[in-house]
Amino acid sequence: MSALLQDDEHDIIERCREGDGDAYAVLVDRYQSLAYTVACRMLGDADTANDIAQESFLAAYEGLRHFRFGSKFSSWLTSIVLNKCRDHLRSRRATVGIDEIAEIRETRRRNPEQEASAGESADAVQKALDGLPPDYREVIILKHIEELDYQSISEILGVSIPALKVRAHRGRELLKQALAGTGVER
Amino acid sequence: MKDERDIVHRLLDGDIPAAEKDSIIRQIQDDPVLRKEFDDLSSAVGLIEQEGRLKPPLAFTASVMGRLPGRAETLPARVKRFLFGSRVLRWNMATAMAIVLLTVVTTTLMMKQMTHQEALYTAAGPGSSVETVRLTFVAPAAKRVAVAGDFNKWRTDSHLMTRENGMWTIDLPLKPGAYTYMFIVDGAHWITDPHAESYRDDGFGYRNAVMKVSI
Repeated sequence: MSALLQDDEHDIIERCREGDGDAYAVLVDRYQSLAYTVACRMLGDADTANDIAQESFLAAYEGLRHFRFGSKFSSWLTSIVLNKCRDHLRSRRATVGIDEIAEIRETRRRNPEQEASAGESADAVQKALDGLPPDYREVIILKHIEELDYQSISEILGVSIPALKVRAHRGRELLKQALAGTGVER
Repeated sequence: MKDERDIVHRLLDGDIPAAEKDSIIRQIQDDPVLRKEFDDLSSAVGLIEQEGRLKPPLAFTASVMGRLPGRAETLPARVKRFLFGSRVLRWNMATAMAIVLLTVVTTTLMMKQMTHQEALYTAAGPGSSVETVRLTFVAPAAKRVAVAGDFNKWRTDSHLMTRENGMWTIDLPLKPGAYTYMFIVDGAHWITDPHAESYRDDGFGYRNAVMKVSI
């Protein structure tokens, strides 16, 4: 992130803390795609991801007074999104049987825009991601979709870099196996 | 094999020092098993990376902003935002249509009101709260005299006076109020009534006559 953007965000966050709710729209607009993508890739369901991403922005707004300047708002927001995704996955596991989870994954709904652009490859990738343990999935998403370095991922997840690399290695191996039988290629 | 796989992952992570990179790549190319491992992993990672970010629903930001809890803004912040804050005009089709409808209704009502007032000036019916005022003007040599004023929007041909023994007269049914007027002689000469109650400058160097009507 450029220093200019960070200064700009500092001002915006200060204004939000003073009670200027409208200023927050700039942050939502800037990071909506980040929050939505992370939630969507974690959960594999567009509607739920939309809810989780919105709730994450609301939680971030509520917690802005705890935000520490010097760290990135995007990293902080991402950690909130991932926490909410983990909570959702835990509650889903507690209330739905394994067979039903498989069914949900098969019938997961996409919004019309996604439907239009989602091809065979996108479906195969999401299915492969769905099959990863959440710990591996979040590292793969941050590393290979958000293209973050391990230092940033470590700050978001609170996990050491060596441990993250192990998760990334194992996650990639599982992805390779999952995608091998689909016939989908780059 | 595990160590060899680690090499592939380190390469994908960009963890191989530049000095070692060429020899590692040669090692992978020379080993069919390792090369397949590298190709498969690169392909899987490439598929994930090419997916990129997803587009959120169009109304995402508006939806979040609509759900924010109301917060009491401090006075200095409110003043600062009022003076220096940029504003975004948000609209939707329903609001736009409502504004257009409101404009049409308001314009129609105003036009109706104007027409109604004009009708009162020109032909007030019996029983309405109007008073008949007689204007007289002495101009024996004139062939045609009319009166124009703000009661008839200064039309020069709508209120012709009638001649009686060299004196021109007209009866005007008017609602209470003050009206400015002038006589037009032979369609060309504007004459101020010399016997008017009072006068008012017309802004063009002439004086209009003023009559006051009361019940």
